[in-house]
Amino acid sequence: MKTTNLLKIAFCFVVVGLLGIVPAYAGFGVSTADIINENLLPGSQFEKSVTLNRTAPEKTAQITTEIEGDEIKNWISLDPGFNFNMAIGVEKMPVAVHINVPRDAQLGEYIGKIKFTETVGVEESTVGTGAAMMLGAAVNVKLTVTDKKVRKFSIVSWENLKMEENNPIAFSLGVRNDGNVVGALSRIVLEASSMNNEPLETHEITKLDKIQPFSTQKSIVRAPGVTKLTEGTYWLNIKIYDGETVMFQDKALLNIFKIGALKKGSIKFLNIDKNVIKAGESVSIMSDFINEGQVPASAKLRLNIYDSKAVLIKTIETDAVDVLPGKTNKFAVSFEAQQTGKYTIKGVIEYDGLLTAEKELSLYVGYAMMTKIMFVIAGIIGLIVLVLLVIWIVKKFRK
Amino acid sequence: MIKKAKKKNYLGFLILALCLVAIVPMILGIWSLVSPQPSMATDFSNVLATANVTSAPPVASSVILRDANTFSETNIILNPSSTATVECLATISDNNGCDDITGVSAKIYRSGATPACLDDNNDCYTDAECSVGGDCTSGGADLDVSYTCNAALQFYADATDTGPLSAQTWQCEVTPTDGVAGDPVVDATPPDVDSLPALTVLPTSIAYGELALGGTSATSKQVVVTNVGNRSLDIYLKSTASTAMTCDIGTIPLANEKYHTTENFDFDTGGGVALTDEDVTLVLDLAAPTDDVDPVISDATEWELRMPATGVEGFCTGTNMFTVYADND
Repeated sequence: MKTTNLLKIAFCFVVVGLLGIVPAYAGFGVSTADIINENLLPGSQFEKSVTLNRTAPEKTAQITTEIEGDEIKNWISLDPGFNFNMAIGVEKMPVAVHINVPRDAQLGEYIGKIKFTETVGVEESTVGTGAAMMLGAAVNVKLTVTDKKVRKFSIVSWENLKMEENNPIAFSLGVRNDGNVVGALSRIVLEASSMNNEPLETHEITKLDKIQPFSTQKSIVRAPGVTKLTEGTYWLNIKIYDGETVMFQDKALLNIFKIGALKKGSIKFLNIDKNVIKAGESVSIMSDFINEGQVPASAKLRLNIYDSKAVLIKTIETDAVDVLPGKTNKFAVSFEAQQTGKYTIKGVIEYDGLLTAEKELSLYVGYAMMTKIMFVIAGIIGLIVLVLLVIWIVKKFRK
Repeated sequence: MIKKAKKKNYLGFLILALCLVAIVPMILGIWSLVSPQPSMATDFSNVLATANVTSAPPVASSVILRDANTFSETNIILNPSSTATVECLATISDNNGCDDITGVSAKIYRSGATPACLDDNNDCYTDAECSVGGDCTSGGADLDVSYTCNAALQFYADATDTGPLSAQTWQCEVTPTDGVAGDPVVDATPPDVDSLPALTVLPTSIAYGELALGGTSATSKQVVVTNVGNRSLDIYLKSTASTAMTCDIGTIPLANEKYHTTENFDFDTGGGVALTDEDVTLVLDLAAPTDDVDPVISDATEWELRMPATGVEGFCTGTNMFTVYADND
């Protein structure tokens, strides 16, 4: 009876169950703290990478993302999505935040937050009793939509490249366009000097790639002419202009090597998707180029196509692409054969004036079905005409 | 007659001999004047030629500061409550040959702290460890060699990507030496240290103990929030469900669980904030650490629970979410 009464008193036990409680003592955060863009035009797009960061990755964490700010909620998408996992052992995880401003967005300032919250798997969080603490981190978002066009570039990286004699001076350049319009830097002046700083030669690069707004482009830039400098070590001074203003300058060592010392590449294969086709059909021809040298190579695939009489009927070249040392580039071109017969296709990769070994394959081109049908119909008509002619001649002789 | 003829012959030979004696030295003398000098030098083979080559100072270039984990040259990402390694790459040249280079020192600092800064985990690391690359060929013809210097940035190293120091960057200043120090050179494309709003909470759960129906916590339960990042923080608090807790029988409403920054606040009149299922800001203004000796910046949140007067029994569980964000005010 007493026990029953005690039960009726209905004590509530709010007991902390240590087993299964989320390990909230682990640190959790996000880099960066703020996504700020003050130069968005209606219709602008930009991407910002944030990194989720935790200190005790003993368990898989389920990450749930929530956007605060009704107006910008639909502007934001995430890669890898709004719900994802951080696997056991993963301390840092980059998340790409894509922001697409609608074309009909009103000018003004938009504020919100992207909240990332960390929860452990369901089986862990429901075991035991108690009030658990869970952690999250939020990124402040402040977007300004304007109608003012802004041009703004910054150099984020540059690295001078080793090179061989009688080649254009080349370097890798990272440029960020923080403006809201497509644009390019105006020119780059390269001045090579001796190690005692005596000027030797100057190059000016005026054709520079255009860069999309709010994006960073890293590319290999080459001087328009070849250098006359011989094997040795020099200083290379670089000046980068935006308009007539020098926005960046620096100097780095320029190491020039004998021809053949740095460049090496090979063609891995030359494949075709179909060896037998009908006239008028296309085939895809693929090849891999491996840059086995120590410097980036500007490479392109060149195909020479010969007919059955070994007459060169067509040459196809791809655009040149920069292939970094140790990397492989896949080339693919299509070829439409109009004439029937056997074709021989010889492929070679040209890189910085050098050629790989040549690969060869064959292609058989037959008549198209319609052509075959036409031939059959013509044959039948011819046969009928012939039979009628024979009958007519026989009748004529009998008379 | 014969004697006279013999005399004439002797005289002719004599004149010829005298001519030869005179002409040969003359030819040799003229030759000695017009002949190349080395033939003369060979006569003095024991002379020692000496020269002192002036020592050219080493020069640093291509200085790059980057995140050693991601290799990003634009953004350095820190780790909550621990360190993150950055590396400073540089090429050192010496016109006397790369063998002449004896070492490099590097200082990594926030640009506003200037290269004159002293060690401070917030903005200045003077003790980067530098190691030489294996790309120096001795002999004098190879003039340059690469160096890599590493430093471990603390979680509270100043952020320069956004926030109050966003006009600045982080720099690496490299000074080479070949016995005599060369000029210091800095990174031409310096990166930012990214903001890191990050926290820990302790304890991991709130233990309210046993409560009678209608009863209230006798004392508040403390949950300590610690800033383990590099930005001043505030937090959002909420319950992850539409109730504060779910019990074996019944649920505890959100309004029955409250928090405050004051210990043992009065549940009814002490200004405690009732838990909600929507994020509500708790202004902590939890600053980023600045003290290298004791870099712990914490603040306590106090929690109290009132049991409903009816309708609940047994064990009750709930989950409270702490979401951190950078305080830009």
